Amino acid sequence: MLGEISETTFKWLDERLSLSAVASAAGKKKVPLHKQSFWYYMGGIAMLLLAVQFLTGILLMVYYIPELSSANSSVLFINSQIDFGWFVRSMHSWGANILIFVLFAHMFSAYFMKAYRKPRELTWISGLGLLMLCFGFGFTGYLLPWDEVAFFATKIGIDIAEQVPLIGGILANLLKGGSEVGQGTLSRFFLLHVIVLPLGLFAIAGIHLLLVQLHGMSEPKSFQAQAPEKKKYEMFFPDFFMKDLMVWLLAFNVLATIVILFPWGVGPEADPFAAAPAGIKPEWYFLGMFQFLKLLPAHIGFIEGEKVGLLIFALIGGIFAAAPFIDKGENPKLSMFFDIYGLMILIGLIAFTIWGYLA
Amino acid sequence: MFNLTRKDFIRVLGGFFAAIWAAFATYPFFRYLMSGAEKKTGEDSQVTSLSLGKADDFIPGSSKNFKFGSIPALMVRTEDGAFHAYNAICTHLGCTVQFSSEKKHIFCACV
Repeated sequence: MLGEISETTFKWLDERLSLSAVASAAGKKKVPLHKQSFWYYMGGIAMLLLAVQFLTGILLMVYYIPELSSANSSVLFINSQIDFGWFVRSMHSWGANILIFVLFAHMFSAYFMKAYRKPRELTWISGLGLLMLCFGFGFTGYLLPWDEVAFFATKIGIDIAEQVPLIGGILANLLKGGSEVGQGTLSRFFLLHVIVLPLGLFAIAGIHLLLVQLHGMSEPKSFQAQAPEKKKYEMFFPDFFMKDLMVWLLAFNVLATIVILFPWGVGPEADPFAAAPAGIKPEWYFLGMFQFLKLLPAHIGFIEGEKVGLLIFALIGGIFAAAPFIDKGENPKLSMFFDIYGLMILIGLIAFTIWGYLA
Repeated sequence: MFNLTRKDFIRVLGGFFAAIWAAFATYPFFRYLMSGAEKKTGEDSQVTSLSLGKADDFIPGSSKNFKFGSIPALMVRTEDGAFHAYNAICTHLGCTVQFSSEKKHIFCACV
């Protein structure tokens, strides 16, 4: 009886949605098994954390008020008065930070496994776009609680944006939305954070996921070089997917545990006319770049030091992004160059972040 | 009575634990949304009396809608000079009622 109903329902939907075509395509998807298979889970974890951000973000908007005199107290209200408000807020803050960390792991693992090579160039580029969007989420979201640290970190961020050659002034004014960081900035950052960036994220994440389905899992060269009978695969459905579910469960529970043990606080309300408190630092994922900029002299030649710094970042990032178009896998020397190049970026990033943390 | 295979047993057990996990994971979010309505705003609920002005300011046959704590209220001075205060929430659809000085009765615009 039950089986009959579900069979009829499936048939009805299948005739309209071509479910069996999707199912047979999904049924063919295979995941290569090798020593580095572990990294295949990173994208999935990022997706789960994004879903957590999406859900907790909507929940926070229920009580958050993006208005200058209410923003800080509304976050305090969520943290202290609303049942499990501290939990939802901390899930969002911790989740954001862990998400960025996982995205770094996802990006560098794809990079070092040369997963960006043909035909996955656009997957690589769209992934970098997603990382940039997440940086945007981090920067705009940081201001919303309107506490001391957020206020000054935003001032610093906008000051750095102002140093972007040619369009810096326009960019800074568009972000500020007023003569100073104030209500205009808060409104704009709120809109960017809850509408503009999410729409962009959905679009690019959709493309990214579609491309992953189109190309299947990337196989590292060492795996490809194996004799066909030695290559081991597992089916995506149900084997890998079940493991994916387990990893998601683990990731969610780890996040919830961190949140319960170390709930995220709210700083004192921002006072635009008070002196900046000691130890103002950007979020850790901007810290390395911040520390690098701090080291540069005020002027290099006749150009401002920060401008030179931003140009250096653009150059380093540009080459990193262009890796699939230069390192196509035909030239071992180029391949080696990009290995070393990526390693230098990774080490540099870690070193400057630690340096910035200790400074 | 009925034959439960090992596979089915594991499936049922898995579903059982998944349901428990889901309940634990959703409960905080449910409480989060519920507690907004449950929070008492404090000062409003404590109002027991308030002044609407001098008695002479209200001519017989006039009325005034006012706020009594968090409740909309209505004060009517009838032709005989007596003051009547009501909770102004209509028993029909919960709108706020008003007094018509021409027809000399209380009515609700929400029909």
